[in-house]
Amino acid sequence: MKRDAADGARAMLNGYDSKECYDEIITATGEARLESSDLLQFFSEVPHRELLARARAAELAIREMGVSFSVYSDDSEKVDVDRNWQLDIIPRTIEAKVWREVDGGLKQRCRAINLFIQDVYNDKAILKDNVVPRELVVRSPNYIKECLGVTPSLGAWAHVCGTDLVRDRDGVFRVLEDNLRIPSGISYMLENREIIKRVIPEIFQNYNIDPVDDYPSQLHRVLKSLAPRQNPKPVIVVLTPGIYNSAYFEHAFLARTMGVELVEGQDLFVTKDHKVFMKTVDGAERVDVVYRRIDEMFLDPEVFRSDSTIGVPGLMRAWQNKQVAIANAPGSGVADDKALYSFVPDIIRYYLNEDPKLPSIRTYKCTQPEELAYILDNINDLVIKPVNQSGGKGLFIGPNAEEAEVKIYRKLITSEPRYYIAQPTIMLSTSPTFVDGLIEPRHLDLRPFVLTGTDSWVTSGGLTRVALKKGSLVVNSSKGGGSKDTWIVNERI
Amino acid sequence: MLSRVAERLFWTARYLERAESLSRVIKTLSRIRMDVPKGTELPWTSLLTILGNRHEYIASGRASTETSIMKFMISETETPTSILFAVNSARENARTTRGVLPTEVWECLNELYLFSKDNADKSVARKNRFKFLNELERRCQLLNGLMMLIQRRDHGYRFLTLGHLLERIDFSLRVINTLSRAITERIESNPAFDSLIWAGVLESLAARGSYRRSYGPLVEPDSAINFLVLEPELPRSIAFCVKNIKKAFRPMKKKSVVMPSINLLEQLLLKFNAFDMSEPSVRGELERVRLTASSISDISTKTWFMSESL
Repeated sequence: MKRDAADGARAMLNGYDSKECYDEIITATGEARLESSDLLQFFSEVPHRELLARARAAELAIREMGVSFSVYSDDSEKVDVDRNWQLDIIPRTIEAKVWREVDGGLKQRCRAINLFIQDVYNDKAILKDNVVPRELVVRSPNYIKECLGVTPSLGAWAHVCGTDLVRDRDGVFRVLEDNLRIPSGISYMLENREIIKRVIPEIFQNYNIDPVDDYPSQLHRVLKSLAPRQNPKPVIVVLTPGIYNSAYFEHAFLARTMGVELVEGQDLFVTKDHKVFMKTVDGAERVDVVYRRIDEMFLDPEVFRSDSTIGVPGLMRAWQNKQVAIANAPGSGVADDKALYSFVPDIIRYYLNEDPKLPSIRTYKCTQPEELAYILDNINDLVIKPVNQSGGKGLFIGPNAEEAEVKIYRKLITSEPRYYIAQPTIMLSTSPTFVDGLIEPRHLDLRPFVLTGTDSWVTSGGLTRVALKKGSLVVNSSKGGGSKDTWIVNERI
Repeated sequence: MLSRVAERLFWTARYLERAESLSRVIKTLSRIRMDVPKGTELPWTSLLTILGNRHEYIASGRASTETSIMKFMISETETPTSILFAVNSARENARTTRGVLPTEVWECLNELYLFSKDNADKSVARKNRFKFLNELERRCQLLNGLMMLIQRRDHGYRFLTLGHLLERIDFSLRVINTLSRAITERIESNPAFDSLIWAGVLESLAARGSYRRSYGPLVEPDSAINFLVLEPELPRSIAFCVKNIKKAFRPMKKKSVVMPSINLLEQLLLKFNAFDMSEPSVRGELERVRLTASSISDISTKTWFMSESL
């Protein structure tokens, strides 16, 4: 019996159903979007066994390249430092024309956020003008008093920003949240492209896709521009908490691709006159710029948590005395507090006198009695987020929540309103994803990275994170999410 | 070069060298047992003596059988002297130095790790043992070749080199001393087979062909020992290792701290000659050489790996 080898993949795509939300590749009428037509054609013509083989090849490449993401399990101390990174072999496409607009919106947002951070630690104009409630800022655990009166190099605070974007039902990109402390994911974005190039080289031939590999040189350029000392070759280091951190792979990746040292806290020390040195085999070497991937609270035991063994005693005073630059600057987290999120459009108007180019998501504050009442009445339709967590920790998703969970959250938001916000459940956009041998829609988001020094620079696309579980809206890598290569597709020349 | 990174590169190289040496010596002993008549063979426990943990092994109540000892030396991850432990440790150390290791070297080491992890367990029995050990050695050599070809000749390379050479000296001398004692202390000694056993020792140090060209096909104990210790052109000889250790230290600041040990090593080798010495004093001298070499490792740790002062 002879069978059309492509039957499998085509049949799967015929049954493809994602009408509830925006699909990145296939329109509501089942056609391919213009920028994804060749891609879709390729995947619908590939025999099923070939698809499986490519997926296995991607897994193998990831294993051999040692691309890993450590996952801390909730119920034990055991850490799997070697969980391989999850990559779906079907790329996600975005039209270049659409992306240019998002790019502009991200730059605008980061510019305003940096001005805001500088302001709240110095003149506090925005607080005096009551555009943002004073309490919200000064009571925030991320508002660090050691930063008061400090103006870092170039006046820039959040040099690396990872902004999470989602696409709503109408395909409009909206900002879900800003990550201004130690956002991770860029290395996976770059490795994803490398792996897809290895595994499915032929689909690149009909496309004109933005390259992504210029990130390390851009990051290096920004870090170099921060050096406080006049020095044509400033010494830059990447400071990691060590191998047990979930993003250790990324820290090593960035150090390697920028050609700088990857240091741990124990490798650095600060002298009495506030200079930072690293311990080398030739003796001590002066350090100018620290790209820190350690949480603020552990950065300097002299100032923050005194039990921190991964930090560097004296690093804060070195920074305050302008003997070293730290990226992102300590205290930047004050602007990614989720309770502040709803004020970002006002912040943009206040500092730039422009309307925000990127829309946000309606946010309800538990601190406002009438909004809290609304949240309690509509809790099953809302997403509730703790204001100070990352990696999807403590996230409550109304439509999927069990009765017991609803009860717990009702209690939490009434007793600790400052620590929670609520947003409508956004039906994240979907894209065809190859899971368990089938091509089916899966929800996803996008994390582009914005670099800020003298000017701002945005990655082409970003890291697409995809929820591998059917119907799930949780895309976080630490919660078992996967990822996709992200293509910014230019029109054919 | 960061002190911590230098230290981890040093240990990466040591563990890699150890994995390969373990493999070679296991193969040698397995082969000798097939060649030599029953009753005159070397006991499996000689392997434990080489590694210096025979007493612990016996005290733990484990059987001194081939299977049990092979398992202990090949596939146990909790045993610090097993091949799998050495490979894991090499990778763990390298993982924290990925900033300075070339990508190809890391990927090759990672593949070695995946290969060992997947296969060590099923390679304890004789049937698969040789295939596994041969492949393991091939991969170790591939890695060493890669480093030689693409690694920048900086301090990182020097500490990798030192790790290799110091481990090599230590391991080679343990093999020579343990086997030479085991040969003479056998209950049913048969000198007719001594030559076969020494041929095996030469093979375990990749020196047999080279020996033949220098001394002829019949292996004689004293000349075999002299060859392994003194031959300046044999990459696994002690003299060769000492020469290259000295060379690796040359561009380093503070190298004067190791010079007394290196000079002592050179003097010990200069007056060494197995033909003029009794067997016990050969072993005594070689043990002095081994301890002097390991003092270089200790001095390096204090001088370059924990440096704090300006």
